[in-house]
Amino acid sequence: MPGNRTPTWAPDAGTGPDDALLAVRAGEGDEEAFAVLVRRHAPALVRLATRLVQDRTEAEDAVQEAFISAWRKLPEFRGQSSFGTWLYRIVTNRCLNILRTRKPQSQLEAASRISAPEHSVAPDRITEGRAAIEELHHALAGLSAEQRACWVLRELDEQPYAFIAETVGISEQAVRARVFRARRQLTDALGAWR
Amino acid sequence: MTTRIHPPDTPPPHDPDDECLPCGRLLSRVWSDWEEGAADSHAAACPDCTAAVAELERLETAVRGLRDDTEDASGYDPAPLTERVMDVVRLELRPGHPLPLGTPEEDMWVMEYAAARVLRAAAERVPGVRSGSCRITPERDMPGRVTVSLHILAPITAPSLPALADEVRRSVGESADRRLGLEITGIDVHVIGFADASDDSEKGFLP
Amino acid sequence: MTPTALGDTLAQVVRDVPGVAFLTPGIAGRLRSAFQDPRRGGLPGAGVRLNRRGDTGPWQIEVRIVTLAGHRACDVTRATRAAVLAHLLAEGATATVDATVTVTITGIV
Repeated sequence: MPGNRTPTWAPDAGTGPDDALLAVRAGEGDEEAFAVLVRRHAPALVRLATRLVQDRTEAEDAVQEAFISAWRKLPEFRGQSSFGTWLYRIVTNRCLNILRTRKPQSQLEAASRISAPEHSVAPDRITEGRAAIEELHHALAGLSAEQRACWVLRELDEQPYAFIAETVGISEQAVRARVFRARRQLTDALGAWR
Repeated sequence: MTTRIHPPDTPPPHDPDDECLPCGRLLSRVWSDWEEGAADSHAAACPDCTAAVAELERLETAVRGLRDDTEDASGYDPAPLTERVMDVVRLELRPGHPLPLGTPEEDMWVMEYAAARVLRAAAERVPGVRSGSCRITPERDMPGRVTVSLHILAPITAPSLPALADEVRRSVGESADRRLGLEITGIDVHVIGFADASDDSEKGFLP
Repeated sequence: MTPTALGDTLAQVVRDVPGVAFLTPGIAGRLRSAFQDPRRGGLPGAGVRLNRRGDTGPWQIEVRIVTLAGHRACDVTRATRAAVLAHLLAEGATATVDATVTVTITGIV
């Protein structure tokens, strides 16, 4: 059933109460506890940021800054949410800011951002599906920052609407509307390609 | 099955990006029904709805490809990024306040965070115990002395929490004396929850 | 003896105290490389600060160290303090009069 998605990654997956303890210690100045948290959460957050900004270097910078800002805010972090969810939110918002400041770019420029594996594939292997993925990549650059963030969290990170609403700080209805508009634009783009 | 009419934040019926299909249904509803797996008998039979869903499914196929392309988190080496983050963190350490060692005339101190790490590790020497917050505060009326407040997770198998707390207190007190030389007037042990037994694998990061 | 020279000498004296892992690196040392072994890096005397009122006032000496986990913290600070005072005594009577020595452990490794 298309509606019944299981998130491939939840911010708290497999960390148990350990994250909370480490976050408290880090808040009290234990930088080694913080290093454990950074190492543990970096891969998933870099993946999230890369999906959002479509540029590995910018994504890593965003995640790095998010962790540094987390270190500064940790003494006030009272565990209202889990450490993972908190970081997920910080990274998403940093990426949103990156997307907002990005100048509108042509789809050609957008294409050059992507270290696309398809370029290394022999021409006869470029199937219709592969071309559609490429086209989708380009079309994403045409979305507004807000649409793109909501769409990526929903479609690539497979998060529930309520979680996205909380992360981005808007209502669930607004998230649904943004995802709908993004889908509309993307299906149009794929349609144009057909 | 509800059609959202005039919801507070967005008005799908007036959304310029929305579209009324020839069958009378809104595209936004057809797609959200598909996403929620809530398609009814109309949707199954209606050629307009079927075509609209087919369009979205084509998009979803490309999305799956894109998702797989960016699904490399397991292969990501977090070490270089962790080093860059920790380079900055080490310039912004939070050592806490100085705690007195020896007699006041000797003017010797240990920073709270360094002492706290030793005491947390002492608590974790009691099997199954995980330690969190550890605050060490100088006694206002007794110069040279400190009091400890420690939060722990107890092992789920602990037969008696008071006995466990005593054991933790003993271990912490012993470390405070033998490894630090802190004069402790009291150790408050707060059991804030229970530790997952399988969590032991992560214990190796304290001295 | 100039404050810098005395500071360098005291830094060496402190490093030789059993249980002292290294002097707490100053901000410059940490900036240079937070990931290098601080035992090799760090400015000379970064963990030792000297002050005195005028040219002849009593020395105020602040020592900041990182100690080894196998050694009792209080014993290390006491030995450090004793070593510093002993060195000042050897330097001459004027250096020792009313000198204050503060020893702080900033980390245990």
